[in-house]
Amino acid sequence: MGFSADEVVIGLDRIPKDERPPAPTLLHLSFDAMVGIGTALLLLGAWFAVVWWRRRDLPRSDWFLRATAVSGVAAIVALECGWIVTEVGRQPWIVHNLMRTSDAVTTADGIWFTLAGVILLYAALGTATVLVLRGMARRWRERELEERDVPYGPRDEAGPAEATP
Amino acid sequence: MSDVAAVLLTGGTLYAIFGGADFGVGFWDLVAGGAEPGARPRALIDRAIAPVWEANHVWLIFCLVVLWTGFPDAFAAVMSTLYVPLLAAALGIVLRGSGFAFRKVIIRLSGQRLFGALFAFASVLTPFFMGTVVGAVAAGRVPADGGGDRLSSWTGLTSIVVGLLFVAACAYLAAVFLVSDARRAGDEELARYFGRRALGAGIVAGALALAGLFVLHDDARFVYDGLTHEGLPLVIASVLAGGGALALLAAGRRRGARPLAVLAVAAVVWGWGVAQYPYLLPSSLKVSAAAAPDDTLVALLVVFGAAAVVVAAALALLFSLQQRSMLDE
Repeated sequence: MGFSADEVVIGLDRIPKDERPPAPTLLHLSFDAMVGIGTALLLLGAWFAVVWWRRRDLPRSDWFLRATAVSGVAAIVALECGWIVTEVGRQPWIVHNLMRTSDAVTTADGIWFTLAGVILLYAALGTATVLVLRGMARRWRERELEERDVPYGPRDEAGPAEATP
Repeated sequence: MSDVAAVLLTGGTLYAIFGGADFGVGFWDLVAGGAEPGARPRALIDRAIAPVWEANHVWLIFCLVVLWTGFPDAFAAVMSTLYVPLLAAALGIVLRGSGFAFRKVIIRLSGQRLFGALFAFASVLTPFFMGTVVGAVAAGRVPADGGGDRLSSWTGLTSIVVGLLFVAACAYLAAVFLVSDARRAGDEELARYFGRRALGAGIVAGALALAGLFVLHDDARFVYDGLTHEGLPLVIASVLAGGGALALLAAGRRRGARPLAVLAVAAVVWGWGVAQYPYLLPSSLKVSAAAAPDDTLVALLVVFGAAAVVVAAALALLFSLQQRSMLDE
């Protein structure tokens, strides 16, 4: 909270009951996951940096490749955990000590309808994105196979849609 | 606080021009006809906006941020009253973007049709809903403390006419820009194709603006009085610039139509702002009453200055590269 070494961090038990955030265990685990994954990613980067510095090459270990493969998903998990920490941990305030979420909420009705609509929309867009990416990957692989059949043949120009990466 | 209102209006002007042209090409995509005859105009449209269509919408975000930071009460009133057309516009922006992006990577014609239609329809509906929002504000349908009727506040005659005017103005701007793009691509036939459409859209936009004045007279008297008094020079400037652009297009001139068309749109936006002054929401919320505390406004102006330097330079580079056809994907 503060930016000095004298800052006293107040424990949750000293905060009035009606001003405590919900689900403290979830918050705690989310924070641990965020910091833990972030540290692990940092170490993974350091591993790579050291090996590259010494040998100008990737680390040979299979474990490096396994860790790198899951690092993308792990980064997203860390990010979402961070959102849980800030947004759930902020409750019941929307602006700390100034405005409660219950006072800030819109007077307009139909919130659940809107939320459902947004979830459906992004589910559809997410599905379309995955399908389109898979289609692009499949076309790319097929072209690569064809080219391997005739390694020194003339390079087939891609179709108009395929030219766009 | 008037300076912050001017910043807001500047953002609105830039969005009307860049975002407007961006939506407008979607209109021409929609009416370009079947896959065979529409292939060439659609290819030009695709080339024209592919590098810039995301950048064109930074001005919407800019306007929203300035509105909620500088005039939080007005923001709350507009959002809680007009959330239906605003959500529709947001949905349209999401669908047109994904439609445009997906169309480019899909090979099958049926898929291209589906996503192309999504892009084109959303491009037409989005400016219409934005126009209904502006019309609702102008007609005084947004109460200062918000919570206005969720339907009748934006379905009045002013909202409908302004919504249609937005669509026509977008189509007009886009057609004028596409004439230049076609010429640069060396396609004189396509330049004439869009020249004819620019003329048509310009005439429709002019007629809707004129009809709008009559509607404002009955439905939004405060803004009507402002447009015919304080805002009159800007209205006249818009008529002259818009008419001049049409005359240049009709005469087949190569230069001048683009800046005049931009000027016509900018003058209308500023005419609206001047006509509303000193109200942000006529006639219930004044600019001075809606303004955030002075410290916030000063911070906002400083950020605006910094953003103007950084963003304007980056956008100028983007557009100059695009205009010289140096952006190949």
